[in-house]
Amino acid sequence: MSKKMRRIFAAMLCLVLILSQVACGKKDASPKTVGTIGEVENKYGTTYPLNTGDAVLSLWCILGVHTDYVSYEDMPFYQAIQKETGVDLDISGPASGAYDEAFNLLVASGDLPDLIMYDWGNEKIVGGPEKYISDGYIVPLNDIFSAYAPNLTKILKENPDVDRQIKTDGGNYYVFPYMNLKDSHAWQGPVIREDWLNELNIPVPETIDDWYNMLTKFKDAKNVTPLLYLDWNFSQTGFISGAYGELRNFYVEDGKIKHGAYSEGWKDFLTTINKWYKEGLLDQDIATLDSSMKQSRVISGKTGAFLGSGGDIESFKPMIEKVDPKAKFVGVSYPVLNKGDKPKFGQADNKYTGLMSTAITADCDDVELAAKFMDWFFTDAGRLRSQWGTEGVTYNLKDGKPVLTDEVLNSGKVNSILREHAIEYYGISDPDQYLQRMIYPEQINALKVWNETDMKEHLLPVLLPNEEEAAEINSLMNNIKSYIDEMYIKYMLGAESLESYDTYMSHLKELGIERVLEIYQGVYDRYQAR
Amino acid sequence: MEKSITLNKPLKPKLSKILKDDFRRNKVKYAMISVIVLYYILFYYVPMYGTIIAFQDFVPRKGIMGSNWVGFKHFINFFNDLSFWKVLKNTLTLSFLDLCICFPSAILFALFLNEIRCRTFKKTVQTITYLPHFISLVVICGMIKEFCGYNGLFNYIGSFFGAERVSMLQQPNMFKWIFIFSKIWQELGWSSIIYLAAFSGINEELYEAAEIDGAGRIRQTLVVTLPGILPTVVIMLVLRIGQILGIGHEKVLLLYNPATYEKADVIMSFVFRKGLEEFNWSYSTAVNMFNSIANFTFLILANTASKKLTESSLW
Repeated sequence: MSKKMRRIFAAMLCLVLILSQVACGKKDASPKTVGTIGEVENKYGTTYPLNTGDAVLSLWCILGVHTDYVSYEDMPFYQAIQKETGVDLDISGPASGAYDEAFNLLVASGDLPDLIMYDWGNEKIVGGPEKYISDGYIVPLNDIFSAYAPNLTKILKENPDVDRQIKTDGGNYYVFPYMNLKDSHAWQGPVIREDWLNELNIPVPETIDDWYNMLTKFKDAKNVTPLLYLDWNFSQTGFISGAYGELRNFYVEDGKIKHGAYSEGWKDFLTTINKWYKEGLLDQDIATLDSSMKQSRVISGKTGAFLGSGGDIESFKPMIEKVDPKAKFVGVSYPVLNKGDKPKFGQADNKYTGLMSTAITADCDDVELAAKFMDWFFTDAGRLRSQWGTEGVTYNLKDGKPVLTDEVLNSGKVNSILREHAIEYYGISDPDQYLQRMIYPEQINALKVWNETDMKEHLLPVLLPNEEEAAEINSLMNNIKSYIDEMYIKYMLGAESLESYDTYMSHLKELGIERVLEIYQGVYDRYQAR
Repeated sequence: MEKSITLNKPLKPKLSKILKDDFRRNKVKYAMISVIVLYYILFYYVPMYGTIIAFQDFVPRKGIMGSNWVGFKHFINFFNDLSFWKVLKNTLTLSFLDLCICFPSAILFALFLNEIRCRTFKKTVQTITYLPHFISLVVICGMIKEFCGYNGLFNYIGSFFGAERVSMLQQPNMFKWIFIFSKIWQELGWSSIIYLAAFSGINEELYEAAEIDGAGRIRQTLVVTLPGILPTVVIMLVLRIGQILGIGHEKVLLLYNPATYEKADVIMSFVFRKGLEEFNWSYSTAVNMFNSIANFTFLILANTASKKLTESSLW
């Protein structure tokens, strides 16, 4: 019955969608000029809380409602920002998890809220932000920044390297960014069961050979498939493949754009990983693993090493100690080929990643209100609120610096409580908050070790090809990406022999990978020349 | 339409008179059916308007009126797509197996149930086989993943008999069997209901007559039961053939992974990826439209064939 109801409901939604498209089609007969603002009015004043009367701003964000609350408006964070900015918000968002589809439907519905928080600098924005501006979804923000966003403008002037990253190729600002001003910490890397290392008397592994020996000993002693290599989410890190100088993604080396899976080094990596798989060192269900399976395997002691985050250590530790009180985790550095090498790849983020940024849509009638509201996150008060939460509840100021309170740190659910009061994805991220949140010494040590890589030199900035380039890349990359993914797993499982590697390379060439590299190279060169 | 009305002018008052009289007589019935008709118009016919975007480079912001017309570009792109033959082949393979295995298995199961004389046992079996139908597909697929894993149930049983352990969902050639047999497990009981209902429509006297003629149980099944449910079987078969390219994508999406793409990707999962993940609305619509037209053609062919061969048909 509920299935039927759902279907009917879905059908009604479709109808609404279609009808609104019809309506939209008519409305757009006379397109309004976007991106130009009239006279700078400043009708709401320049001090917070703004004097807004009963104006309401609608915001769509990809962060779900906190699980302890019914609606966004109930959450202390959103209550506080409404009070502190003086802006009444009408907040909506997708059910957790499915936000790409939800964004897609939102855009297709033609009925846009004033502000949309989404991964605007991501390849999911097909055609790039410039296309979204020219198609009339969002507005360019250059004039708006200078008129209504003094706080953000000031910060961008002081940090020209960030300023360069958040513009399109054409020099347009397109979002209020979520960004870092300081270098952020690596938050992801290899994790090993330290108690197993001690028990079997194995030193902490550094090289690929060390890893091989360790995994073999784990396998023999514990009768498990010790390495859980949940790779689908982690192609960015180059765990193991980094030792052979490659990762399954685009990266930059000496000013040249490369793709790791289109190289000779990739073959060496595949040879190794295939051997490990065959010998039962890798989890045998590698292609079907998901994060919940990862959790159950780690906790039940079926895994001796995995690629994890600081958060993983934090959540797994109490759970595994219930099963096995001796269990301990240690974060180790990314494996290298020769002892003493520094890992080439690892995990690192740009100061601006393009994620979680907020754009003003073309349907927004009150640009001043929207801009001033977003600019508040770049004031001192806004930065404290979004990163640290409520003073006296989640943090206290000591010598002018925010410190998380003991109640929060000892609560056993630091992240959950913090998220009620502070949502770090607005405005400027504070790495200090992230470090303070780490309650176990293992976590802090792990973060330090994971940071020791050359990843930052190889990381690409947010590259925004122009419309035609983006369309070409999109059509080529879909096939290339799925071919690489498919062959990667086949070589690993041994379903395809590595003797066919030359055919693989030439097929990639046929699919147009060189053309994609050429386009990205051009975009990158233009970026460097800014 | 108008033309035909003017041509049939003498008929027109007659027709409207019939309608009017009929309406006066069956007011309540018309009121009742109007809801259903409205439902179909609103939810099945109005949305068809949206298929126009298959011939456009659709930009939601510009709407259907404002987007550029591109003719058959998306159709041509699809036929030239590297994936075209792959997804078509996989769809047909899965559908064909479904037709050859799942479809008859439900009939066979219904026949078996029909022969059971102990009512309690029959009801228990029925209830147990209906159950999986009511479990959410996501949960079903989660269970399949666990059972087919390297340390899962099937490998446990297999290794007991000396088979080598494999992670089944990573084997491209095993995908279709996992897909089909899990479907049998999930839908066997549910899809046998309609045949059980058809059995009750068979005249008991026919069985008695057959018995008097010396037919055993198997013989009775062959000459009485099967011909008795044949019209139902044919209708179900025609309907099934009408969905031949529409094999459910939800389960494929939940079960496939890069290791099995080449054997698991079907047209509907392709549409889903293009439309909702890659934002190619027009392309995705074009593929889906091709799919619908093909299905419709199959339906008509199957119906015509069955009308000629068995005299029972949908229309």
